[in-house]
Amino acid sequence: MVVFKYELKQMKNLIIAWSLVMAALAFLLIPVFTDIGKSVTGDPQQLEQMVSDNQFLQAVGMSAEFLSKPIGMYGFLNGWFFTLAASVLAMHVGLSVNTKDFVGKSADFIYTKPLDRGKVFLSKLLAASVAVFTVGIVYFAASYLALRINLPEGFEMWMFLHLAFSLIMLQAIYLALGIFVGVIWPMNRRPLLLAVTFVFVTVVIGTFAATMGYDLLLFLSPPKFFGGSVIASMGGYDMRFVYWLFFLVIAFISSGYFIFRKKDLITV
Amino acid sequence: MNEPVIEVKNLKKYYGKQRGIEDVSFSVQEGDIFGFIGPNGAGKSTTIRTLLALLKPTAGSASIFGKDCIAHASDIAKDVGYLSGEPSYYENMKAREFLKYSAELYGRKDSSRLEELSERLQLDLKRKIEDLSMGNKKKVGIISALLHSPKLLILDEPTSGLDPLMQQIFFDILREENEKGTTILFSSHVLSEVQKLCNKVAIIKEGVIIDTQSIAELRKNGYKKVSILADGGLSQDDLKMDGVADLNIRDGSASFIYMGPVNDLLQRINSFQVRDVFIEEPSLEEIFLHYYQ
Repeated sequence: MVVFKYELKQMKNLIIAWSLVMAALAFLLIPVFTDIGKSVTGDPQQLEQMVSDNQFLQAVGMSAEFLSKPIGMYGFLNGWFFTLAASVLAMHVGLSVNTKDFVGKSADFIYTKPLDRGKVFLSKLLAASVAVFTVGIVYFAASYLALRINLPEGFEMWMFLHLAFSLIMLQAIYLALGIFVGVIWPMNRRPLLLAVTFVFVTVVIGTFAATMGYDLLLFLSPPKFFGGSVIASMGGYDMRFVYWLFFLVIAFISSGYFIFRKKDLITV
Repeated sequence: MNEPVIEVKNLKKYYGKQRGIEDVSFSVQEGDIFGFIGPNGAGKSTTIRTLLALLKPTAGSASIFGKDCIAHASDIAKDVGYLSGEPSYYENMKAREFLKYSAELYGRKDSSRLEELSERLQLDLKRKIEDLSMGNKKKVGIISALLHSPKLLILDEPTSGLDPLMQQIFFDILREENEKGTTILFSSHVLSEVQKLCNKVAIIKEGVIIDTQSIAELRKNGYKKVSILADGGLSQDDLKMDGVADLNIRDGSASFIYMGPVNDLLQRINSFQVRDVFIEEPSLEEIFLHYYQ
């Protein structure tokens, strides 16, 4: 637990800053988008027309059915802003929790202590998970409060839970991916840039796959796993993607763990 | 005879096709201050990092306290203090917090040793590591290595960055630890400090141990530093004989390292019109250069 405690301590400022920013943005942006939602949902035909005329909305998986719901615009904002930001954070934390010891050369310190290498890996993973999910949970709470304030007429709670929880699940997959990439490329000096690139590329793949109708490619794009319109039309998640996500999380973490235990730790 | 504290047998490490070490064998007995010398790139750090299980050997074996270095790394680490050549730690931590972290990793909570060592080494514990000079970072590393009073200290180029006064204090601390029973593996390319501190030495060249001797033995082994000034001058041919190395002829005088029967040397010197002659004990640097010829 010593490594966990000190790793978490090192990430304290990052957790606080991200939590505050995510909560503040939730309170700032949700009123704006819910107002937009209210203005367009008054006329279903106009909404249908708006979605069919807007290739961007189609490409990002928005449907008139979904946008017509009180929570529809929140789903759009959640899926295309907050989940991507949280995914970048998760991958950045996953990458840097390992790479910092190699780029900063502190690996010689931590991996020569009386701790099994695997235990250090798991302690770091735990600290990174706590950091990332704390931000996710703060956002979860802030967005709920913001919706309660801005949609006094109420909203579908089950849909909110599905939408907001999709952010936590995306954090899990990008965190696991970050951990894995950090193990195989420990000397990466630009973890944030790499995280942004990975998230951007996966978004592009998903958008391309959705536009062209290549369904299998969607499995390579986590941001597309839990689209608001799919949740609205299916009454929940598409479980194929949920199982796939859990498989990927376990695969990335377990392979990262086993590779890390065996590999040479080179800092020069 | 007691089991060696460190035993390295035919250790080999390749990074892909690139050589790290080729064939390293030596043993360090309990209570030794064992010098490990060689120039940069000879394989000192690779050997040490393999001993610490940071690297997996390509071939050969290494054990500490009779346990395999790779299989029992975390168990061995309980009694080992390590100072890396380029100490680099968590930059945003204060020195005190970092050293507390280090102590806790060994299950130590008492800060008296930390206070004592930081006072002796004159380290300001309130400063952030990123604000410390190279020398002060080294002090942090030294304290971190000594905090848990290990049975074995592995020090990789420990004095780089320390000023001479601090080096002296550091050497005093090492001698005290050694008197208490700590075995020390001291890697360096600064031979005078190895000469000053160590009782045994292994010399590594291009990944291979080329000699392991006690410091006293190394000096006694017949190495003489000879300087001759002769009338009529001297040439390379005049001193062409077995045991002569590093021959340097300048303005008719000759200087060289000699290892062999002293009688043979004196007879040869006697054949010249000698104006002056100096026969002295060479420094370890000079002996070392001889090995690298």
